[in-house]
Amino acid sequence: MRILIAEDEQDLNELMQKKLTREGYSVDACIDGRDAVEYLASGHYDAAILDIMMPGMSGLAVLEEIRKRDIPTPVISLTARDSVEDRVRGLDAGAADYIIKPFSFKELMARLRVLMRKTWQTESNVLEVGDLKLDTASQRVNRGERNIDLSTREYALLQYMMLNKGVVLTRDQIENHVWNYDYEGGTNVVDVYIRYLRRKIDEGEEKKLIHTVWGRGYVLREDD
Amino acid sequence: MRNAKIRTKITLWFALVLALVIGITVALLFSVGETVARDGARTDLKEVVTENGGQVRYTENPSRIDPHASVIPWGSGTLVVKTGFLDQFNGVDCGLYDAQGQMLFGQKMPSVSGGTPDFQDGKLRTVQAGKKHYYLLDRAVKIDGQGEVWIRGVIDREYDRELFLRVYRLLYLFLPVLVLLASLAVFRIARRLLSPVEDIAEEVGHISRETDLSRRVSIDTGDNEIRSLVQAINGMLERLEGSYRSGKQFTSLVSHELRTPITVILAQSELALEEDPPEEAREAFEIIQKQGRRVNKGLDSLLQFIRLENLAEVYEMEEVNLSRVVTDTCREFHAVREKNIRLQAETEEDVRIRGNASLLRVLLENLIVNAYKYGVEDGVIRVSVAEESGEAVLSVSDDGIGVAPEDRERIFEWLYQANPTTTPKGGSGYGLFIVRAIAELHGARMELDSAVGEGSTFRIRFPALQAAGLP
Repeated sequence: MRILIAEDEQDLNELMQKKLTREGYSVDACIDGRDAVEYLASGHYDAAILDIMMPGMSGLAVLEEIRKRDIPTPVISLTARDSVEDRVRGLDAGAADYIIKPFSFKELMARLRVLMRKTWQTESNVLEVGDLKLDTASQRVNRGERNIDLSTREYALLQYMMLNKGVVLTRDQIENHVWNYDYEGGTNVVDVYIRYLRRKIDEGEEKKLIHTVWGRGYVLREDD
Repeated sequence: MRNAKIRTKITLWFALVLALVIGITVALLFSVGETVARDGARTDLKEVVTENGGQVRYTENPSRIDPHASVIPWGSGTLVVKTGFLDQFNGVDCGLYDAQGQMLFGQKMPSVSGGTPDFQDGKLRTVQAGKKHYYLLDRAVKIDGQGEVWIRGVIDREYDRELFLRVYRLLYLFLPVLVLLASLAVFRIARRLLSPVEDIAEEVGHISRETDLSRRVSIDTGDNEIRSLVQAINGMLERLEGSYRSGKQFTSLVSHELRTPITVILAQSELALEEDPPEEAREAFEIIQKQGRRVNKGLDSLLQFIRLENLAEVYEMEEVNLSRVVTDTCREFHAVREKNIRLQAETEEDVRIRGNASLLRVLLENLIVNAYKYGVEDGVIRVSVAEESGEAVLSVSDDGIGVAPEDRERIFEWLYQANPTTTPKGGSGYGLFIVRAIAELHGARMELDSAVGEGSTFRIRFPALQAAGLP
């Protein structure tokens, strides 16, 4: 899951990056509205967290701008408790949700999961493909009874593929949604991580879940 | 009359004054006219009687009598009454009598009550006949060596007055019609002149209902009193808008400047705690987090207070489902496990009042937080909403430490806390103050039942929806 953070308070911005990265999201961050619009215009983000009170271009203006440009990225707005107006205007301008400052990260993470469920139209936090289960709340992954330990990046990759189960994903798509702009690895990074995942998930299993589609990319599905 | 519209008042006063003025004028005219009429009657009488005196002659030589004249044998000769004798003229009846009172010629006079009066030369008298009053005047005509005859004239005292009376009657008939027509005209004029006042009232009402302080009254009637009124109102709106805006800017500035660092502090300590720090550091972070939350809560109340006191925000009052506000707010407290206190809500469905939902939520939150603070271990907090004789009653009761009688008024004061040695620490001291401010804003009455050691019940009685009297 790739997320954009737009927050002008540097400390808070960094804290959110740190926390979200730790939770397995790939994160880009900016400190003003104009940059936020540019980032979002790339279309790679699964969600954005926008501070409403930003100098220059406010979060509301960003919302209005991206909706005008038909960028459908769901947005959570950060507002002060004192301003009911901002909250309402944020929702009216097309924000999917709002969170009041000061917030706890637990709450922010829960809201993000709800948002993801809405975006991917899943009912619960648990994603399933065959006997493979991924719980987005506890971040636990199981194959049958077997508990699978994944690195943050592996987790993010698996989550993205499970959300798109049955859909063939190109390397570009995967890279754009799982890695952020700071990543400067080689072009075969996707292949490398797919290999890691296969080793942890499919190795020793009778039924393989990760399939290569020649010339196009990868797909996660139950049947062959 | 006190509550009548100004245009009605103007019209009524005008009609009253007009009727008075016309009435007085007519009365004056009447009295002058009466005097003039009586004078006229007297003058006419004198003239006719004097004139007729010259028309009576005595002769003993009949051949010299004018053939048209009347001839009356009298004494040894003849009395000649010339054709110039006016026996009925200008209302004067005139007759010729001998000294014994025998009528010789002319008009009979009306039968005077108290008998025919004696002759008195040249003296004007008033006599009564039936219901009428008459002026009476006699004049002696001396005849050389033969004695005298009398000319007696009478005139109805009211004779000339009749004419005036007819005019007055006409006037009295027309007076109400005249007043009515004039009042109608004044009413229309007053309504036209005063209509801007109603327009102004409507515009100002609209501004206050819409709570849009950037609007101004736009009515212009030219350079007159109405324009000064409009200017005064607009000046006031200007100042109101200014203080509203600066109040809002202030709270928004305070909010942003203080909340951002608190957000960072809380977020940082939350993250640090996740990293499984050593015991001492964990304690330190937990204290930072606890105090950070407290600062934040204090800031909430402080800003809420500033808004309520300075009206930095115009709260929109609308129909609110109090039951739903209570149910929603109580649900948020379900996760609270403080002192193992249970929170019970008993709400009647659909109790509606006129108010502001977010303020009501703040009011209830403060009451519940207060109940937790002063509640006892394993206690119960009961929140209820019910309709009682037209009022909506919200009550929050606890079985906590209670409020001493001497503290009952003071607990609603700013920053007041009951006896600090017996009450728990950590209260902000403005929770109940805010509760009262919000209750007052809703026109509600507050009641407190409490016994030390048994608990307290705060009851807030909101006026019925129709009688709330809020704009």
